[in-house]
Amino acid sequence: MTRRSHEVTKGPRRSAHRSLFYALGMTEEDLSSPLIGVVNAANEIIPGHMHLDTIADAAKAGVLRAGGTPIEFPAIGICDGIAMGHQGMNYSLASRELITDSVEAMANGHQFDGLVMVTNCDKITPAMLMAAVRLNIPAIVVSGGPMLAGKFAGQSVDLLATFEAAGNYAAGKLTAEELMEMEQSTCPTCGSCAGLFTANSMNCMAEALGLALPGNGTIPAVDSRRLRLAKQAGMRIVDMVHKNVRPRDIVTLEALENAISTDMAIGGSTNTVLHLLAVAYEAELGVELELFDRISQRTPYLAKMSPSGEHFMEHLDAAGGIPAVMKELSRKGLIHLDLPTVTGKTVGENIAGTNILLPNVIHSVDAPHRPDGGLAILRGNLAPDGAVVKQSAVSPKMLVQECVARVFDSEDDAINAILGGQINKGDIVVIRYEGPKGGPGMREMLLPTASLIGMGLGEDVALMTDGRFSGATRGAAMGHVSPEAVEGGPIALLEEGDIISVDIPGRKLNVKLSAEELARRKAAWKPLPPRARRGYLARYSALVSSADEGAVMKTPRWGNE
Amino acid sequence: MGPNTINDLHSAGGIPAVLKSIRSLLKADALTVSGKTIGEVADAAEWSDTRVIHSLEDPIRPDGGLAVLWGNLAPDGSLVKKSAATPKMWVHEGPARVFDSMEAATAVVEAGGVEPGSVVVIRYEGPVGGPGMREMQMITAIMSGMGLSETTALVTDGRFSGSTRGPCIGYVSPEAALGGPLALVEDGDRISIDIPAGKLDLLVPDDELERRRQRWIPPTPPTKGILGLYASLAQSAAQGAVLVPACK
Repeated sequence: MTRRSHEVTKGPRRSAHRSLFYALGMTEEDLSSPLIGVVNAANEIIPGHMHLDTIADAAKAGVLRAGGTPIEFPAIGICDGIAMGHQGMNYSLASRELITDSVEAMANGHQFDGLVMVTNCDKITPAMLMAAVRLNIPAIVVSGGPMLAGKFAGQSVDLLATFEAAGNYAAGKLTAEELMEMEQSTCPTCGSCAGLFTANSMNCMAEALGLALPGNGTIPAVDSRRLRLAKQAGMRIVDMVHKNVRPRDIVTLEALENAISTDMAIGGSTNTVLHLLAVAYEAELGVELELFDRISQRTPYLAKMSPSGEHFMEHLDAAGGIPAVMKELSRKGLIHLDLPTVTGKTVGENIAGTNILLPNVIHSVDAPHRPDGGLAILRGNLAPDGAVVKQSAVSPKMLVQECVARVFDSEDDAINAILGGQINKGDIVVIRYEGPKGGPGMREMLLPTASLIGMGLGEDVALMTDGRFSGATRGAAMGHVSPEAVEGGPIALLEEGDIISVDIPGRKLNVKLSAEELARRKAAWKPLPPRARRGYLARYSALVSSADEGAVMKTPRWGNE
Repeated sequence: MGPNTINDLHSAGGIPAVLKSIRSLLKADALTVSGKTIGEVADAAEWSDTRVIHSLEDPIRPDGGLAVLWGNLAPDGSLVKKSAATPKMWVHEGPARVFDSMEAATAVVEAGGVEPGSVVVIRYEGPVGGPGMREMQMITAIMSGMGLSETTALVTDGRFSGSTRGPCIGYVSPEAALGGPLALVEDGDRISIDIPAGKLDLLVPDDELERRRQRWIPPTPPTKGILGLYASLAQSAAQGAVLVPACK
């Protein structure tokens, strides 16, 4: 049987190649076994990644046990929390493309037979999923797992509490001593921050897609089940190589629908829309933004996780995790069951023996928190190509309203105005020129939303941006507005004082201006000059597509639109 | 090619000793990460083994290891490691044998299908053409192993490994995929190489080259993934094969 890695291990013309493998300390037996690349995103700057060496070691042990040859190589990763609120956040979404490209280069550069992808946080997990379907060689994702919740003043807390604390402090509700005590309590362990933020959402998506083993989304990082999961993943990949089970066999349109349904049921981050669109693009599945809304409308919302509610990932895990959610959804026929997964069994077989263990954490489909899902896609004269809002995290009184536009051309200007007390009840803070091209990098606007809540304005002030939000965002926050400002989207034409009409149940986002007035403003409009002229962000802003396309990079020269 | 390895160079005093041997050619006050200037680094070096590191007065050759060749086949230049090419091949003229990939050339050369004295041309292996400007190590090693480096030259818009030896001229710019003259060479055309004079020329009249240019159809590079991105943005070797922010 011919294997991909024979390109580097077999035949007289590969003598020199074998010399180099022998220099690595490999034996002839190692070379005649499947070569399994173990992508290890461990680093010392992301708390969710600080322990990934032990996960990678466990994965390698599994590969060896099953008769494969594990070969570890690194991947980079940015901590979105540390990058929040400054130039660092311009690089976050862009880093997703860098990681995808680098995994492609390593996997093809060395002709590995398969990959175990050890990941955890926000942009690294989607990059691994994108690389897996782009390369389409056998691959399995294993995540590091969520952080435990912290304790402060008798409450369970996660990182969001500290983000909102800046606003609390500015409003005089927290002393400096209390702030310091809180900071040191909210993140008690390794792992991805404990709410259903983007990292945990995406690790759950990997599981729901079938590219990660059951439990991948929710088993806490400190729980030794994680080590067993990683070993099992290492064993599974060798079998998948022998049977040639490829990512695109697993990530079909139906698998994507399963993932989106699960996403809507648990109230995942708005970033899942961007990343699942990008995975679909790499898998060459034609998927439109509409699909998310169609699925949201028919999917009951079953779990109120932080930031929308009180529960953290450890509670979702104790309640039965993603298998229990999918089992519950399948009772309403909302999950495609007969799909292959990396366990070697189908989705249906994987969830067959599961039950909800904590019914207050995962509600039944007959008594959901809401009858429709966590996310909504809005359209209107302000968002011809769509906007995304996590409706499960919007207070009911904010769902339908008219508000007064306060317009800012950068996140920093908006934060200064909010913390400086210049925003009034009934306003909508508009932050533009923060899209994929405009930012560049489509920064997450967590600080503005957290500051509003901290100042006590979370129930009275909305926010709208062509940028993104964090998975920790809550409030009436509408993002991914497309087309973005720098491309001449209508958000660029707003002026201070315009009246904006928001109707989330009706899926509408409009400015109360006539078509003639909008056309007049458009004719007079000029974009701001580009913010990045050199380096990685210059290339990124020239090539990145819009949010409704998943903000993937495209290469127009050869007609690849 | 010489007998010494990098370990021998290290034992002879390494790069500091080389710097000492070319002391009069250095811009002495340039800063280095050691905190000393390059002149200070050179002055502090121990250099005594003149068999491994020769002196300026007694060099192995009076000029450097690399040469740049220009001409109507490489308007933006090309590179050859002349210290690794046998001197009898420094001036050479021969008929072109043209291949559009390294694999195509390797198959024919290995089977004995290339006449000694030819100029093997391997094109569409540049930054955009490859894409990725592969190293032509396989073909150069086979030609050397078969003894062809004594008689037969190679010209490519691809790169070489640092371990390549023989009369091999690479990094031809502009590359064939972007319409450089390498795209117009046909089997039998005479190619003239003159390393001491720095010339690489295709001995075909301009009007014939213009006719061929009119008929030339550019290739379709990949569009997906990192190689699609690379092929879309890479510059020719003469610009260092860097990626520009956006294509024009």
